[in-house]
Amino acid sequence: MDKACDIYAVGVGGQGIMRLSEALSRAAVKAGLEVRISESHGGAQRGGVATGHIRIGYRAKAPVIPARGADAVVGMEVLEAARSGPRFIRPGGVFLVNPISWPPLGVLTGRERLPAVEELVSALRKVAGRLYVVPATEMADRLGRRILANVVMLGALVECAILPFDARCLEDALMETVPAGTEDANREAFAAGRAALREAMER
Amino acid sequence: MSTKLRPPDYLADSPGTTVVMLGNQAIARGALEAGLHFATAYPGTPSTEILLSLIPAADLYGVRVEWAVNEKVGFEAAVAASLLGLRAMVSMKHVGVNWISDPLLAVNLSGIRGSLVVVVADDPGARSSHNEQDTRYWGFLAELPILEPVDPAEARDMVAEAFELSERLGLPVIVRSQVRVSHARQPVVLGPLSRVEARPCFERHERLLVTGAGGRALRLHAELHRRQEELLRVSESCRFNRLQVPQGAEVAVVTSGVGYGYLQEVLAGARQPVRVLKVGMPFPAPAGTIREVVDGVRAVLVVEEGEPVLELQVRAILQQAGIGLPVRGRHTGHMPPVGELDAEAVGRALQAALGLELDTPELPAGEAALPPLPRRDLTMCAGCPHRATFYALKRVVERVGRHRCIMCGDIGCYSFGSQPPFELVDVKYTMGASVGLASGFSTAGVSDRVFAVIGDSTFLHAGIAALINAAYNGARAVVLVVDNGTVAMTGQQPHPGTGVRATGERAKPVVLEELARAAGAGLVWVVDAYDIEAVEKVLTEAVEFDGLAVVIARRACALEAMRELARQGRRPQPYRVDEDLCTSCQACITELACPALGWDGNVASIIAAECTGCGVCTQVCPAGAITKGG
Repeated sequence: MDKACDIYAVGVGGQGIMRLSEALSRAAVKAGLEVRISESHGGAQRGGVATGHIRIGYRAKAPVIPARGADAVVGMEVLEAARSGPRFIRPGGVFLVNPISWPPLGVLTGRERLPAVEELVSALRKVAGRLYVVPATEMADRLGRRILANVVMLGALVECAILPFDARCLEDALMETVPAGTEDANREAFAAGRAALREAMER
Repeated sequence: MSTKLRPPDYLADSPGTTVVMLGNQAIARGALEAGLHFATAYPGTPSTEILLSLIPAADLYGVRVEWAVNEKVGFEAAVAASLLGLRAMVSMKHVGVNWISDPLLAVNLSGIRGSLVVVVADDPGARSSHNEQDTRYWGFLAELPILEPVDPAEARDMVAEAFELSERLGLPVIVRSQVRVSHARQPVVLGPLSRVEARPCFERHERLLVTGAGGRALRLHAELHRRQEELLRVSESCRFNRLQVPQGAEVAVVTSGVGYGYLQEVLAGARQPVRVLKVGMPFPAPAGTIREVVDGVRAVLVVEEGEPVLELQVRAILQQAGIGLPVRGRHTGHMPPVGELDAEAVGRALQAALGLELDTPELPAGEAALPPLPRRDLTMCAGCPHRATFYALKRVVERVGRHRCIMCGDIGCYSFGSQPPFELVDVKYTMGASVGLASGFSTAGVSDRVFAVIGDSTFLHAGIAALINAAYNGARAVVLVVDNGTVAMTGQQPHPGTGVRATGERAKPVVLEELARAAGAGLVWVVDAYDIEAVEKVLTEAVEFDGLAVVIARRACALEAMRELARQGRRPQPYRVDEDLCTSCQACITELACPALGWDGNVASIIAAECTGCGVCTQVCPAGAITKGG
């Protein structure tokens, strides 16, 4: 059985890419698998792009995922998902996208145009084997904690059945990374993400 | 009674436990496993977390942990610790080595006692730096050994080994990390912590007077040359060397560091066998092992992250041995000349340079018919005091005439002042250069008005000497110190002006205005950065002043201020736009570009979750449409 899995996560600073990577890496260790992560640091707090290369299993020798080598792309923000996701998604890979966009400075100041979310999503559909729109931020807002959008996305990711460990393993790993007192909210967000993906698959 | 501090898992005294850790944490761990006594650093991406990770070790294990005012002073402090017989480490980003190079090229001659490990994190691709210089080149100049890890786990082992090696050789040892090691995470099995009690004791020795009379510098230089043979033997027997000699291989690859990671991954799909030598010490390269690995092959490729440091040595080694093999790499155009390495580049090089066939041919990029995507540059955060200062500065500069002002920028978050809507930086080099440039622009005789914009920590790091130079030589310039009380760019570390040490205890804060006066500035003003009118007034006076004027625009970094509010259990009070009063002029958005401001097509809005309540936009709105209250 192929126990290798490469996941490319991308978003903007503050969307929890690092927490998401950490939960996946801990789950891999629990499952007895090799793992390595390469993160982009520095500047993410200042409105920059945040990325995580999460490499699970024997393939993981290099720090970053080769071009068109990602089994899944997790796009926390649609503009950044569109910018770098196509470079990494492998043919037939799963693309999860949170349908929100954070306008960059040039858009705010009216110098550049921000493409519509729908326009970007439909372009991405053509490069991915499967693409699911997971309204993670909207769902996290409904739970009263926007910061949990990354946990919603983790729940959705585990339902794609590409990870070499099960949902229970990932949830346990996630719980090790969350601040005390937020366990219930995290479980709720994780479950909501799983349900959202199941629903999206049925559509 | 003090409560026992629970260590972060990467610092725990629990050998055998597997911990997923950041490369920089692994470096900190390695130092502790080697019995670290003294650690210092100046923050800089991607190295900052090395010292940050060691801060808890001060209380836990009695390690002395300091932020240095700059890399050079930090290095000197670490040298001193080693001269007391202690195990010392100094860490920095690659450009920090430019600062330490002066004392480094004397300490290599004197040698050290105890141990001295210099950890440098390079930034290939220059994502967070003004260049992508390769630290390994310092090996040639300083004639010191350099270790280069492939990943966090090896970084831990190598740093621990570097302490041993430094002690054995009596020389500083450099460990070259880089962003894909420092900012990678990997499971690492904890080793035992070594706790050698510190017995600081200074021993006088004439070697320490490197610049003394009687040709001592030459004697020590000759001795260092002679010791290169010894370093070479260390490199040959380095336990981090990996040699693979499969049957029937006709080609060889010599590699080090992260290059080895990419290589292993690409070679997994190679149809022909390849000899591989991964070296642990790219300087000095192990000549004997290299001659051995190329024996009988038809071509050699060198795969390394950065400049052709190993490649140059391989070529020289083969030439010296009379081996006429083609050596391929960056100099022959088989590897990309600049930027970060990746698996595709290594794959292409293996095919073109060695004629290998790969099972996993490169796939074309995903064909997404995408509309043009707007760029995402880094910006100042919501509530950033620099934004208010730049707004005021722009008004002053435009009154003078933008084309008649030379704007010298510096290193820090305020370098974003080069971007729209401000565009107030004409020239920007390295730490502290703004003030030195302003001094020269003025005294060399230009009639334009000269400005330097520099942050508080950069001012202390490298601006003061330049300010003294400007005052001494009679420069007429405006030096604007944007003082947010912290090293903001790297994640809010304290500095001598903050008045707090790395480990949290209070220090006497350096008062920038007193320093500026003592340096000889003729006019010194301190103003609240959020008060646009006041900043503008003071800057106007400074521009008119016939001499050296220093304006300190002071206000805490917004991220730090928000953290402080949260510590007090409080939340910021966001502002809102009164839609009936908003005239849709968009002045707030186009002139401030605060990420907390939005535009729905008709009126401006404020994103309450982003707003820090700084109130700067209320001063900018001509219609008075922005008011307090969420």
